[in-house]
Amino acid sequence: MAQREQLSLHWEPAAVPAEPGLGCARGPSAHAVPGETGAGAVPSNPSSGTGCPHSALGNPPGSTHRAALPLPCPGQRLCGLVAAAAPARRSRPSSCAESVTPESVSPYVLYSFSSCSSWLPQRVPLRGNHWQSSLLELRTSLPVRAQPKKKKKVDVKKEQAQKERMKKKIKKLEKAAPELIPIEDFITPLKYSESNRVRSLPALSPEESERRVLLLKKWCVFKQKQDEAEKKAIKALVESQQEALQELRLESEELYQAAIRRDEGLLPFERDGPSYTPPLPGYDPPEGKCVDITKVYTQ
Amino acid sequence: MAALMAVARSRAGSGRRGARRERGGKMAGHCGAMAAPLRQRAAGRVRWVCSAAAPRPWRLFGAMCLLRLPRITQPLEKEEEEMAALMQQIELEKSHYSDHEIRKLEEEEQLKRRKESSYDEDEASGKTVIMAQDLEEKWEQKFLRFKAAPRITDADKSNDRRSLNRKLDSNLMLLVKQKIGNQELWLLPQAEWKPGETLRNTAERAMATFLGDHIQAKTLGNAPHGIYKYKFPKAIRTEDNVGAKVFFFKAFLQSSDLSQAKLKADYLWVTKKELGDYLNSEYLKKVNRFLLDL
Repeated sequence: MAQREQLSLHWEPAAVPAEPGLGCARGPSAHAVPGETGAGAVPSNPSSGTGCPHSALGNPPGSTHRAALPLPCPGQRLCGLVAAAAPARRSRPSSCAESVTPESVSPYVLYSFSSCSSWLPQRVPLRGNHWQSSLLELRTSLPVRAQPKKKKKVDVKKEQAQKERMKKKIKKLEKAAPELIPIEDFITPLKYSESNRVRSLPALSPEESERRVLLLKKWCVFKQKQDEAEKKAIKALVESQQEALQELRLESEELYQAAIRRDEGLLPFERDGPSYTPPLPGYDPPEGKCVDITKVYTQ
Repeated sequence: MAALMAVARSRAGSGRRGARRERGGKMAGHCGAMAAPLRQRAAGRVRWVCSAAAPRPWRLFGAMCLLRLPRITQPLEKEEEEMAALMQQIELEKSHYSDHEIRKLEEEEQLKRRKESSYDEDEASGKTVIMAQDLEEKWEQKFLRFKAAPRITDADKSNDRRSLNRKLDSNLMLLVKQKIGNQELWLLPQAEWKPGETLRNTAERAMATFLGDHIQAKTLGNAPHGIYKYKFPKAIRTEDNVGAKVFFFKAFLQSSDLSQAKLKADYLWVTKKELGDYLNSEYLKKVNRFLLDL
């Protein structure tokens, strides 16, 4: 798109073939350098370049475009260009017939007239247009007949369309399901499934398997009893507390309300669990650095 | 039965030693609230009792059961040990060889081949190779050199009930000797309730009086865990002073260092089983209800 901008920019002055006379200097408004992105061209030419419908010629953007292009309304384009190139300087003329005041024409516009293809230093003033009566009138009466507003609308629309397309692409990417983070623990590295890794142990004797089964059953019963005892203890705890709260309520409603209020500082309750041996007094652990090599995945 | 209860509640509810007058209105309301569902049955009777009956107030006490949590794990029971061994065996059977084990096996084979074929060892490898077996022996030596702290401490052996280092695998509770009436009794530290503070504050104050201000303990919530109610002996009992209600609170001791604590009274740290040696039976019964068996 940007290069098309430049294309149109380039095509317009190409109505005047090989226009070195206007000065080779390339202003910031018309980056005639082919292949450059339109970003540089845009600041001073916000809606320029894209608006020329006639310039949608199949020529590839690049330095190879030449001046030999039929331009049915060169004046229009020039007008538009001039108008577009100097937005800050003046308001857009409502009709193309309006003549341009000399001081309102930006010199940069004229720089853009020079053909992009010609990199030669252009010092010879040439007559840019056929309606330019004399060479000295370079920077004066350049009729601006185009409809700058129209061009800008289309420009704006095209840019908006472009932005929407980009947004749609981004949305599509976001909608795609995020890649699942692999759980490293569940992925067995291949080297551990080799055959040489299989342990060779003697088979279980029937007595051994019998013993195991009986032990598992005993364990079930043991755990069941343990669980029942725990539940009984918890029940007794709760009962005792309920009784205490009831008695407290009988005594005073105020104290009761204070007692059943939630204790915010209690949870989260953290405590290091017991170890097998108590901590050694005066133990000096060996120095070392712990480097964490866990892989962190982001979605 | 319901009517009786309503009467009893209204009587108890309207009693507040030393603060009856100012809270008369509130108590009346309280009575009303308590007896509301029963109003239909005992309407006139409730109100009459509230205003005219002599209240039987109870003195309120807040007591703190300070627990030192276990520092080491409890020993495994027989079934647990057998099960642990079985689990380990099954895990071994289901596992594959690890890198270290493979290395060990290969080196054993190499040694066997060298002995059988009996070629020069210098040919095999110019450098001295550390065998996996050597590594294992080295690790074993290192482990044996480390001496962990003993699970049964000196305090255990001497049965010094005042120290906190005893019985590291169970909960220890603080008992203090307090004077109640004319008697010196072993009790959980308690203090009388003062108007203007919650019962939890009372219990914490009781703890602070016996152990000092800088005690780090986490009280488990605002609600009491247990209650012990008793009536004063007839000699002391008056209309205004029937008995006392002791509300128990539980707290976990956070800091193990109590050197700063200046205990004024006689104190003991005992386990739940040893409580019976010091507390009288009724009190003990109530206390045991809210203590877990550890």
